[in-house]
Order: sequence, then structure tokens, then C-alpha cells
Amino acid sequence: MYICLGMAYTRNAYQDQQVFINGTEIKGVQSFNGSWSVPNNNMIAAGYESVGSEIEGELAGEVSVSRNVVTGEDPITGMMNGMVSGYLLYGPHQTKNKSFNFNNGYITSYSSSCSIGEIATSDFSLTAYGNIGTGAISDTNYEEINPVIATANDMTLNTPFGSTNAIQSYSLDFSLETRPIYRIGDMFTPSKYEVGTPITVSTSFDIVANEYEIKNLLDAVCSDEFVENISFSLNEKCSENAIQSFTLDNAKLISSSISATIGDNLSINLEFENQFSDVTGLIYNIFS
Amino acid sequence: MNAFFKNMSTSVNGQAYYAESVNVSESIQIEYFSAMGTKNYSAFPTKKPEGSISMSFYITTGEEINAIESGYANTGFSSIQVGPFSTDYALLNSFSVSSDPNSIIKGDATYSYYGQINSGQVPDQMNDTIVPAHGAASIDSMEDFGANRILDFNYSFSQSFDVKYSLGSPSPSKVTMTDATRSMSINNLISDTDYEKTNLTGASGLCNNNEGEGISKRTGCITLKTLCQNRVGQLDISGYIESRSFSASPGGELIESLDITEKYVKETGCDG
Repeated sequence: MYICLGMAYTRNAYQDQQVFINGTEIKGVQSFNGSWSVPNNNMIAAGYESVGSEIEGELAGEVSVSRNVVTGEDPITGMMNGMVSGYLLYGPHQTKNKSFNFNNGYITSYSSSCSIGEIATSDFSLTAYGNIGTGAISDTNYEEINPVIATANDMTLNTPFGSTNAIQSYSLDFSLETRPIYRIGDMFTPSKYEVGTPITVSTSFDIVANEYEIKNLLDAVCSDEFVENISFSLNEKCSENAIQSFTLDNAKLISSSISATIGDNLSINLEFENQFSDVTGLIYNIFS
Repeated sequence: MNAFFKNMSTSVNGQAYYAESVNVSESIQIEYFSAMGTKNYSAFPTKKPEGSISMSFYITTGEEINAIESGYANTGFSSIQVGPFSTDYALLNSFSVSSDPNSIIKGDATYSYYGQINSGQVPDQMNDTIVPAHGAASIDSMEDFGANRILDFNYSFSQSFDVKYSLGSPSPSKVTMTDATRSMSINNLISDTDYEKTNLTGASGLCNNNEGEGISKRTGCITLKTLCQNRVGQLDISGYIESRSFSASPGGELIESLDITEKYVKETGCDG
């Protein structure tokens, strides 16, 4: 016998949710976080104390998306040089009638990483200026895909240390310092945007050391010894077909650390940096 | 006396202000002397006490601007009340308003007063809710200076007086104005600028021409509005571009800064 205790609430399970950006469904999404806040200034005045509050500051929202690399096409790399808009689509039982929209957005960070035993990730975040929250839903299509998962044991790495030392993980990330330009009377919607330079791409590797010796710090002075050409690709499982590739020509070694403890293998962390003058150059060099 | 921030309501010539901060300070000049053969010293004031009142306030109505502007090039004294303190012998020293596109617009005013400040009853706390002017809703009209849309502005007025006392008089007996200057500094993107119009020598060189492109007086204003689009007031400037500068940050567009200066002469309405 069943007893009805009241109104039944449903929930939005992951199969009810999709992320669209610039009209394209983003595949492999593991999590989506969207937020906005109102920068209220609580005003005080002599003779009154509190006299209310007023908005003072940017009206902006933040969106961050975590993804597993499951396709050979990453639409985000083509969206870094311009404005994006999109939404998280949801609704119980796949009704897809609700959304968290964002407009006037700019990609502000991108990162990719993979360790032994993991699926490679490709995360990004963006800042949206102006309207963020409810909005129009223009696309609800769902296109089934056969995921081509990039796993740690299906990578091809071209590094000066990888052939004789066991690389355990990589991490690549960069931030785009998108600066909105507001003019008097803009009502919180920026007229223009600019990206601060240089743009720094940081790449780090954890290796179990076999032969690798950490370079001498003073050799960084007036020397090319710290400059390396590095590239690596995430391959389709059990194949050498590249899903995604990263190229870091003239990457500068900026930090090294060595760690040795009883019972563990001696490990070394190496961190490299590349600088770019604009987003176009970054996309062309890193993702080509 | 028991007084707190909540008791320090501020007004100029009866016009109330919502002051975010207000400061009153005064001092007196003292001559110390002693004479040969004495083991002590005496002191006497050489001048009446003088002080200054400064306040930073939210701009919520045009009357607030008007009450301060009534002190422009005006040798008549203003009355100021700050909580329990009051003076009827205040002269406006400076007034400034600045804003950027996402900020509440605030004004700063400084007065000098002559004679010791009076003290009276501590006012009760009042209650009110304000809607101040805001940079996001205000409108600039600075095209005459080559700026189509501005990034931010700083409007300021300053003046100085020569205040004379006469023997036997407890209050100043003569006030003459020595200088008054109104100025406006603006920043604008170079892409929003009619560059030729911002040339210091004008588009036609040092000589004036009929189009007003040479060294000629130009006018502009900024209309202050609230986020609800209600008009609060207007800040006017009618002067000359005295200096300009250019700056850019990495990855950014060139920004041109203009400094406009006007020697302020009061419009009295009398031609005779």
C-alpha cells in the first residue's frame, strides 16, 4: 500500500542537462557552475547612518565548465578570440524548458590535464557582462556521439625528458585577462573589450625520474639551455589518431622541484612557460 | 555634549546634504611674548579663529549642486550647519565631482569659515533613503572638445578670497575674490575622439577661425542621472583645452586625457 504524503518534487538529473555555447552543444561536460552577484554599496550619511544601497561596480557573472575530452573537435578553442553566449539547458524529464543564460561572455581561462589512470580533461571558464540568468532558449537538439576518450596511456609526448623518464601527468593552463571597457552612460554593458598581454601559457609535467638531472639555476643566465620544444597529443584509445594536440615551441623552463620520500619513487616536477602577444597567436601555436 | 555620526546632519544655506564624511577644523593664530625681568610668558590672539569644513556627499538632487554653485564667485557668506556646529561666515573654497562608469557619483566641497564655530543642540537622527546620481546612467556632451563618449571625468571648481577685518569688528568686514577657476578632466578612448579637435593649437593653428577650431572657447556638460534615469543635475564647462596626454596599457587601446580650464566669471545679468 502506498501513502501519498504531498506534492512530489522531481529533480534535474545529468541527463536533463546540456550546455550550449554559440549554438554548439559542448560534449563531455562533467560539471557546470554559473553565478552572478550584485555589487551593492550600502550607503551611509552623516545625520542618518544608513540611507539605502545602490549598485556600484561591474554587473558580471562567472561560468566555469569541466569537461572530459571525448571528441576530436573542441569548439572552445575557436571561441577564445571573441564574444560568446550560451546557456545551461535543464528541466526535469528532459523537458529542456529552463535555462541559465549568459551573454557578452569572454573565455577567461582554459586548462587541460591528465594523470596516470585518468581521462584527459579540458576545462574553461568565462566572464559574462550584462544579462546573465534567465533568457531565450534557441536550441535544444541532442546529438548522440560515440565518445573517443583520451586516456593517459594513449598519449604521444615529444619532450626532452620523456624517453628515459616516466611522465606521470601533464597540466596545461592559461588565463586571458579580458578587460571590459565601460564609458559613462553604458548602464553596465561594456562598449568594448581588450585582452591584457602578454598571455602566459603554463605547462607542467610530473615525472618519475630515471636519468633526469635538474638543471643548474645559474645556467638560466644568458643561455638557451632552458628553452625546449615540447609537444604532446591525446590519442584515441588504442590508436595513434590524435584527438587533441598541444605544441609548445620555445617553452622556457621556469621551475623545477625534486621530491624524495621513503617508499616512493623519486619524482620531479618541471614547469614551462610560453608567452604570446595576442589570442590569435596563442590559438595558432598551441592548438595547431 | 553627546554626539555621533548619526547626529551630524549637514546643510549649506538650508540645503541638506547626505554627507558620507564631514570634517570641521579650526585654529587661531597666537602671539606668545614675555618681557625682560619676567619669569613667565603671555599670549594673545593676533587674528580671529578661522576654520574649514569639508564634506564628501552623495549627489541626489540638483538643489544640492545649485546651493554650492550659488557660492561661485560670491563674496557673500554662506551658513553651514554640521550637527551641533554652525557658522554664518563660510566661503566656498572648492567643489569637485568625479565618477567612472560603474560608480555612484559623489561630490566634495570645502568651505573656509571665519570666527569660531558656534555650537548648539545636538540634532536627532533622521531617516531617509536616497537614490544618488550614477556614472552608468549619466550622459556626457563633450563633442565640442572632440570627445564623443568619455570613460570618466573629474569636474572641479576652486576659488580664493582676500578676507579683511577692520578694527573693532568681530567678523570680516570686507571680502574680495582673487581668483576662480572651473576645470574638467576627461579620459576617452582614441577611437571615440575627434583627434583634430583636441589639438592644443586647434585644427587651424593658433589663430581663431569661424568654426571655433582654433584657440577658442568651447562648451560641454555632463548630465547627472540616477540608475532609474531621473535627471539630477548638470555640470557645465566653458573653456579651453590646456593640456592633453596619451597612455596605453599592454593589450589596451590608446586613451587620451584632456584638461579643460575655464577662468570663472560670474554671470551677473548686468551689462551696464
